[in-house]
Amino acid sequence: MPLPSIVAILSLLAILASGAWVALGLMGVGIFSLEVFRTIPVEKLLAQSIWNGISSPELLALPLFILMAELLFRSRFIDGLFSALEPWVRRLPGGLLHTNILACAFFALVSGSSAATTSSVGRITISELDGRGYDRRLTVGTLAGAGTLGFLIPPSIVMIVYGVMSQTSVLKLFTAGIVPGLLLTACFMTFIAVLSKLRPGIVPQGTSDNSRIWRERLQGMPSLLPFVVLIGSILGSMYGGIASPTEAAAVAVIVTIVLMALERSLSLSVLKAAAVGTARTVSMLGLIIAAASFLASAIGFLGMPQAVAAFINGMNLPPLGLIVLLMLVYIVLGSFLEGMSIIVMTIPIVMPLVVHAGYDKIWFGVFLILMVELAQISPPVGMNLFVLQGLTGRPLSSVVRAAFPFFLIMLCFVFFLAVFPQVVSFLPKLL
Amino acid sequence: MIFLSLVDRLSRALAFLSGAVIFGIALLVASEIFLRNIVGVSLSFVWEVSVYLHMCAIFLGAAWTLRTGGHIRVTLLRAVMPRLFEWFATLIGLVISAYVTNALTLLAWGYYATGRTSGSTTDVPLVYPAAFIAFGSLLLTVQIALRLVHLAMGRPVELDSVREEGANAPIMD
Amino acid sequence: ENWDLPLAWPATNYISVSAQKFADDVKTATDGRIEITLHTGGSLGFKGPEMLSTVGDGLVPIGDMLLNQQVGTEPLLGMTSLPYFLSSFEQLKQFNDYFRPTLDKLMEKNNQKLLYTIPWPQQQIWTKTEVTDIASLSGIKIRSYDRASTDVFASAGMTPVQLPWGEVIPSLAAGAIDAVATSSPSAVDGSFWEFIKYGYPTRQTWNMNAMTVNLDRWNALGEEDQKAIMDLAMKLEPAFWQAAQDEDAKNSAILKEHGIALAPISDALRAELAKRAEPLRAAALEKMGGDAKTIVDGFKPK
Ligand code: NA
Ligand code: NA
Repeated sequence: MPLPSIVAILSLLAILASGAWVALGLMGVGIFSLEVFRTIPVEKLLAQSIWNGISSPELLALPLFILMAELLFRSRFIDGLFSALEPWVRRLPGGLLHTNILACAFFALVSGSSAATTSSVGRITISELDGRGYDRRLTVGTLAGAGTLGFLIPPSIVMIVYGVMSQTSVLKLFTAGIVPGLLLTACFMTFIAVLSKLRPGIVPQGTSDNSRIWRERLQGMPSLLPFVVLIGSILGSMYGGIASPTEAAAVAVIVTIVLMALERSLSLSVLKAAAVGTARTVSMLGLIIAAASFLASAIGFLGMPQAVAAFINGMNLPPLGLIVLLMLVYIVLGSFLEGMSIIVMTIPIVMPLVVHAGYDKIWFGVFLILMVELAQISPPVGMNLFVLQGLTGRPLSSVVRAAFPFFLIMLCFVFFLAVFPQVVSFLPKLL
Repeated sequence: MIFLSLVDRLSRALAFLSGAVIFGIALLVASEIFLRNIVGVSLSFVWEVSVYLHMCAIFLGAAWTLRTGGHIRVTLLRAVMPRLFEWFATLIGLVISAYVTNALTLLAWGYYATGRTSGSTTDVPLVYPAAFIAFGSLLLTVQIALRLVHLAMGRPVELDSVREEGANAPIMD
Repeated sequence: ENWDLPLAWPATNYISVSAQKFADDVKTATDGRIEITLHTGGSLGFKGPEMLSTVGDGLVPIGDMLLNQQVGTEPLLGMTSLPYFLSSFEQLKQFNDYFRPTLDKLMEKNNQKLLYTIPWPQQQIWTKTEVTDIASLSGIKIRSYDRASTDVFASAGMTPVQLPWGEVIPSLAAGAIDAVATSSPSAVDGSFWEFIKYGYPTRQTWNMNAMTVNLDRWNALGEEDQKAIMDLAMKLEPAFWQAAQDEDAKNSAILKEHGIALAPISDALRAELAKRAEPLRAAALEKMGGDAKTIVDGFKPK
C-alpha cells in the first residue's frame, strides 16, 4: 500500500484516540493527508464534500424517523406496547430481547436506513428493557446487530445506490434481500435463546405464570393498535403508491402526531423536547456523514482504491479466495468509513473483479450490503455504534463489546452465503 | 461570563430551531403527498427545499449538541490523564473546527459573489443554505473555544441535556 | 503527469467508455506525459451540478459535465434544453457546430479549456399506459428531470413530479408515479420493463456533456502536447457522437426485447406539444438573459 494511505490510516487512529470528536477527527485526517500529499485547494474540496455528503435527498428519511421516535418516546404508547408484547414472548427463552430483534426487522420494512432503524427502535425499547431488568449489554447488542437489517430488508437506500451504479434491477435486489434478512433475524433470535438458556441471569426471572397467558395476550391487544396504525400507514402509503419510500417517513411523523393528539399526550413542552432531542441526533449523525464523505473523497484522491484493486488483481485468486480477501478488505474499509461511501468508492473498482470471477451481480449486491452492515457496527467508526452511544450515554468501547457477538454472527452468515450463493439468488430468479 | 451564557442561550435557541426545521420538512413533504394524491398537483420545490433545510438543521444544532455532550468521541484514554486528555482533545477539535468554518464561509461567500443557484426547477440561490451552514459551524467553533475557558476555570464542560431539555436522557450508567 | 478524471456515470456507460478511449489515446499521443485516470460512478465524491466549478477551481485537472446541470453557474449552458428548440439529433449536431465558439468562450470564462462534447440520446417518456393524443397524457404522474421538462409536461396536462433518482424505481413499482422522462440508457439501467409498457420519443429537450481541462493546467502544458490533445479531441468527437446514436439503438433493442413497445408519437401530438412549449421557451430565453435570444435567432437549421 502506498505511503499516503498508510499515513492516513495511522493519523486516523491517532486523532480518534486523542479524544477529538469523531466528525471533526475524520475531517482533520482528510485535511492533513491532502495538505501533505496533494496540491489541490483543500478547503474548497472540504466545503464541497461536506455539502455533497449531506445534500442527498435519500438522507431525508433519517431526520424524519428520528423525529418520529423522539415523539413516540414521549407518548404513553410505549409502556402499553411492552405490557402487550410481554405475554407473547414470555415462553421464549430470552423474553423481551426478541422484541428488539423483531421490532428492528419490522422497522426495516418501513425504513431504508440502518441508522434510522437502530435509533427509532432503540429510542423506544432501551429504557423499557432496562427498567425491566434485562441485561444492558444484550439490549444494546441486539439493537446494534438487528438495526443493520434496515439495509438488508427492503426498502433499502444502499441497495438502490448499488442497483443504479451496477446497473442491476433494484426490484431483484430487494427481492434478494428478503430471505437473507429473515435468516439473519432467525440467527440473532436463536443466539439470544441459546444464550439465555446457558446464562439464565441475563433475563429477568418474572412470574412464570402461564395459566392466564392467552387472556393476557388478548387483553393487551388494544395497546398494540397505535403501532398497527402507524406501521400500517407507512407501509400502506409506500406500497399503495401514495408516497415514495422517503416520503413515507413524513407520513410516519404526521401519523405519530395525530395519534399522540388523540391520546392527549401532545403538549408544547413535549414538542419542544422532541425538537431539541431530534436536533441533537440529527446534528451528531449529519456531521459524521459529512465528514465521512470528505474522508472518502480524500482517500480517492490519495489513490487508495486503485492500489488495493491492483494488489488483489495481482494475486490471481480462485473465486472463493477472492471473496474472502474482499471480506477482509471491506472489514478494514468498514472500520473507518461510512456505508454509502464504501459502496460508491469501491463499486467501480471491485465490480469488474467480481464479475470476472463469475459471480452474479445480485449476489454480490447482497454480499456488499452485508459488508456495509458489518461496517455499521465495527469500531472505531460505525454509525450504529454512534447511534447507540448517543442513546445510552455509554462509552464507545462498551457499545463495541456489546455489538461484537452480533458482528461475529453476521460474519459467519456472510461466509455461509459465499458457500451457498443460491440462498440469495433463488428468489429473484423466480421473478 | 455574560458572553458565555449568551452563547449558550443562542446555541440552545438554534438547536430548537433545528428541530423545528425537521418538523417543517415533515409538513412540507406531507403537503406534497396530500396535494399530489388528492388535488393532482405536485409541489416541485419540496425535495430540494427539504434537502437544504436538513443541511441547515445539521449545522444549526451542532453547537448545542457539543455543549450537551451529544457529539461522539472515543474516550478510551481519558482515564489515564483526564485533564490533559480534555485539553488536548478540545484543542485539536478547535483547530479542525476553525479550518472547517473557514472553508464553509469561503463556500458561502463564493456562492454569494457568483450568485450561483441550484440550477434546478426551484433555482434556490445557494448562498442561503450555505450561510446558515457556515454560521452553525462558526457557533460550533465558538463553543469549542469556550470549552477551553470552562476547562481553565475548572467548571464542568458539558451541560446535562436531561435537565436542560428532557432531551436525550443518558439512560444507562 | 497524472490527471484524475471524475465521472458521474458507471464505467460501462458510453460516456465513460468514450472518456477511457480518449484517455488511452492521449497517453499515446503525448508519449505518456499525460496519463488520465478515470474515477467512474462518482467515486471521487463529486456530483454533477458542480463540475463546472470543480474544474474551474482546479479541484481536478480535467472533468466531464452535463452542460444543462451547470445552469446555476452559467445559464447559457442550458441552451440545448430549451423546450422544443431542437427537433432532432441532426439539428443538435448542427447546433453543436454553431454554438461551439460561444461554448469555448463560456468555458474560458470559467477558467477551463473545452476539449470535446458528447450528446445524450433523444429524450423519451416511459409510460404504463398507451399515449395516442394529448388527452391520453392528462393526469399522468411523470418523474421529470429539469425545469424545462417540468414545464412542458405541466403544459401538456400531466402532473410532473420531482423525485430523486433513487426513489424512482420503488415509486414506479408501487404506483406513486406512472411515468418517467429519461433517455434509453437510463431506462435500461433501471430495468424499466419491470414496470413500464411504452416508450415514446418526445424529444422535449436535448442534453450534451463536455470534457474540459482546467485552464491553468492547460496553459502549463507544452505547445506540442496541447496540439496533440486538441487534435485528438477533434478527431474523436464525431465518433463519440456516433457512439451516442449507437447507444440509443442498442438500448432500444434491449428494451424491445424485454417487451416495451417503442413507438413514434404522431405528428399531431408532437405539433401540439411544441405549440404549448412555445411560450415556455420564450420565458426561459427571457430568464437566461445575455445573448441567449440572439444565439437562438441566429441558429438556422438546415
Ligand atoms: Na429496509
Ligand atoms: Na465501522
